[in-house]
Amino acid sequence: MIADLKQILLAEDNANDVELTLNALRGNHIVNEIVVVRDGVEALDYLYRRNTFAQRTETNPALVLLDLKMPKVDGIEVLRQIKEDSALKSIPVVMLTSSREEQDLVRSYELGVNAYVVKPVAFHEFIDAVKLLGGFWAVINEPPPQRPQGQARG
Amino acid sequence: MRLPLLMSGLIAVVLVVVFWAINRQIETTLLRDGRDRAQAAADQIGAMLAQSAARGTNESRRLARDPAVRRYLSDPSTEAAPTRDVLTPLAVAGQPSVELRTAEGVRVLEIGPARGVAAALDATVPLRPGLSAIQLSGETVFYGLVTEVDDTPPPIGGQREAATRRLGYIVIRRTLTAVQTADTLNRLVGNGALVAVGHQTGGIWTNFSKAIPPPPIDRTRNGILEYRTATGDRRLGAVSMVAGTPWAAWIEFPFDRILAPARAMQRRMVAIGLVAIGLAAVLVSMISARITTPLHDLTAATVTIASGEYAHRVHAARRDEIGQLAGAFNAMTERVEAAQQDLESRVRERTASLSEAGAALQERVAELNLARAELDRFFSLSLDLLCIAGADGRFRRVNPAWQEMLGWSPEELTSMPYMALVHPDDRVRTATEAAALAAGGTTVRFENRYRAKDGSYRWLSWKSASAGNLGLVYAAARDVTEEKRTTEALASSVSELNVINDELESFSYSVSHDLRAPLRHIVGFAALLEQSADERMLDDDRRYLRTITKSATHMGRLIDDLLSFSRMGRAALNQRTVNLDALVREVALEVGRDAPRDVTWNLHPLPNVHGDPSLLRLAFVNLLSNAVKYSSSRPRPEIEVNVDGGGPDETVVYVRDNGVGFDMAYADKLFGVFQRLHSSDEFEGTGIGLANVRRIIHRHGGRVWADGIVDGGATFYMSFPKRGTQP
Repeated sequence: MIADLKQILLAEDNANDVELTLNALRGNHIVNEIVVVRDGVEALDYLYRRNTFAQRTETNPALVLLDLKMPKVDGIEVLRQIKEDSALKSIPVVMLTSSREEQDLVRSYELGVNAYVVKPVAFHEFIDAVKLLGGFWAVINEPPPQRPQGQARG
Repeated sequence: MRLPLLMSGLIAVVLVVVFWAINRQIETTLLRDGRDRAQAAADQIGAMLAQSAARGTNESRRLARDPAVRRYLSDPSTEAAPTRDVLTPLAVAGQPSVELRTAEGVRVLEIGPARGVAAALDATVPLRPGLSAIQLSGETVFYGLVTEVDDTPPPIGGQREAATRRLGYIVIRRTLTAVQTADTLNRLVGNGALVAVGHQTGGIWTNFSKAIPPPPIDRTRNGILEYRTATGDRRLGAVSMVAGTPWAAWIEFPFDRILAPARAMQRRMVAIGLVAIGLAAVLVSMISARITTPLHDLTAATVTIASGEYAHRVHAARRDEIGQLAGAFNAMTERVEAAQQDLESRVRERTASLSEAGAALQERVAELNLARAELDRFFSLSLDLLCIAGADGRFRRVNPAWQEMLGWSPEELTSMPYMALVHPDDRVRTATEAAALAAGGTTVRFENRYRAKDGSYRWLSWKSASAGNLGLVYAAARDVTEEKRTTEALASSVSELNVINDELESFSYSVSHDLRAPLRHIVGFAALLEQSADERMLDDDRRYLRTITKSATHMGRLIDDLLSFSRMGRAALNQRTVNLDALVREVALEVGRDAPRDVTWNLHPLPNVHGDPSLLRLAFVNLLSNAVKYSSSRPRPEIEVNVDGGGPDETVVYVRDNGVGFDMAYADKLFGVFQRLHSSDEFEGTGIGLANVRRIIHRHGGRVWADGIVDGGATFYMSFPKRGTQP
């Protein structure tokens, strides 16, 4: 069963935040493989199997965790592309952000984000938040069945 | 009364015409029938006579061939008896006897009931075979029938003797005056008719009782005649030829007789006509009495009312149209009377008010003259520039303020086009505005520059209106040169401020993201360190770590509060009517839930205010949680929210607690950012809460202030401007 678990994609440019997030996920006993990318371009490369991810064979991830503020392409843009693509839009996307700015929140929900989490300063609160997210989206919530494109069923 | 006569006359005329036509028709018909009847009767009489004559002739001829007759005539000396027997059938009772005469005319035998009568008659009947003419002998009218007797034997074997010898004649006479004949005829054609017979070519005519004059008509052919007798009687007669004789029959009727039915009809018609006319006259009189009289009354009433007697009324008891008319007439008269009275009273009132108005008008003229003098004085006194300009682009009149401000004398100003004084850059706009004004517009706050005599320009703000029909423009201007400078300076300040605000916006956005991240890392890694080095750490190490965590967390809160305070000042207000009462109860419930001990809430009814609900909510969250916080050390914390009088322009709400209070000496520091009157060891907090409250209330146009005594509780007041009084 565990081997069947899909990957979780984490897009985060800050190494400290990556480490804390990974710690939080592990601490919550989430055992899915977690793929970390450092900006929006890489996140999109992963999802579309481009450049460094051209050889990727895994199915779409169970969950995408996006930092809002990233170099090159920000989280909002990645979210927009995911939700506009019929092959990707069923993937749950969660915004992880330091910001309480209302404009970002409104924008994200307009684009169809599945959850929006303001990273709390207190670490244990952060762990609780990640626990809820990872548990709910990666383990409990069964994503819609995969429909591979251009591939005969058999 | 003329109407009934007229109607009766009319009916009479119509009846006469109709009756005359009918009578004419009847008479014509009767006359036609009379003619037919006369002709038919004449023909019948003629036929009877013809038949009678033919029968006599035939009988006479038969007997003429009788041998006894022949023999006797051949020899009159023979026995006469057989001959007499043979001839007896010819002898008719009452008629003259039948004679046998020799060829020489000698009478040899006379047979008949009235022998000797024939001889008594004129014997001049010519001995010519056939019927004779009608003859008169004394009073007796008669005719003769002579038949020749010869010796011609009866035809035997087709042979006939060549010679015949005349032996003599049978002579018969018949009178036409027999009374019974006339009676019979009269029965046939009716009384009053004249039946006559006579010779066709004149001579004797008889009515079968006596000789009469021949009828005045051509008697040789059938025909009808109408004529007047010498005495004037009208008569209708018809003549008919009697076949086989030289006679003609005549039937004559008096007209009266023929037209008798018409006369009877006439009499009846006259009677009917008279009755009809009488009835018509009575009927018309009745109708006239019923309609004409009330109308006459109405007409008379109209004349009466026209002469001014409006109180006059007519009798209107009837229920028909006339009654309605009379009723309507009365109603109209009442209204006319009322209107008349109303009119008179109005005329009186008008006359009175007119004379009043006349007096008032004189007063008004005096007032106007005064007002005009006053206006002139104001015109001269005004600090504003006042002017009247014509359609030719020149001033007609300017007040002294012009000279004071621009230096030009009134003569200079009115002698040149005002456009010459307008700043070249403003001339196009000014011309457009002047054209709009001339078209009847009004100018409010039009601004342009005028050149002063010293060459400098002054900004003038205009308010103008045109008196279209006069082609004049009335305008007032004010020197706004200083205002203009201030406004320009203000505009540049505003744009600088906007730039700063934008910078601030992006600054706070960065702060919210970038300043929080390191704090999170500090706290996060401190937590990881605590986990990984747990066993190896001394108690002091743990305390250090917790202090690090606590400080970083506090700083995170400071940043959050500071950001929200900054946003509060910039966010647009989303104002509407807010149910303050409901809002405060909700916040109290929420805040009270987290309170360390039970709080007694005294929440009084609060009015609705106009404001941004989310911001007002934030203000009350701050105030109520402060109240809870600073009274939490009391054994029975009490918090009261109520309205405090206020004024007509504002609503004042206060929040009072029985907490630790404050020293009024520091009251001005309460609402400052990061200003605290208690150490954070005593009470937690960032020092932003009350600053937020003040900012929120200020943004709603209100004020905040506080009362407090150390250890005696604190009261925080805020005022809300009432709607409509808000600037």
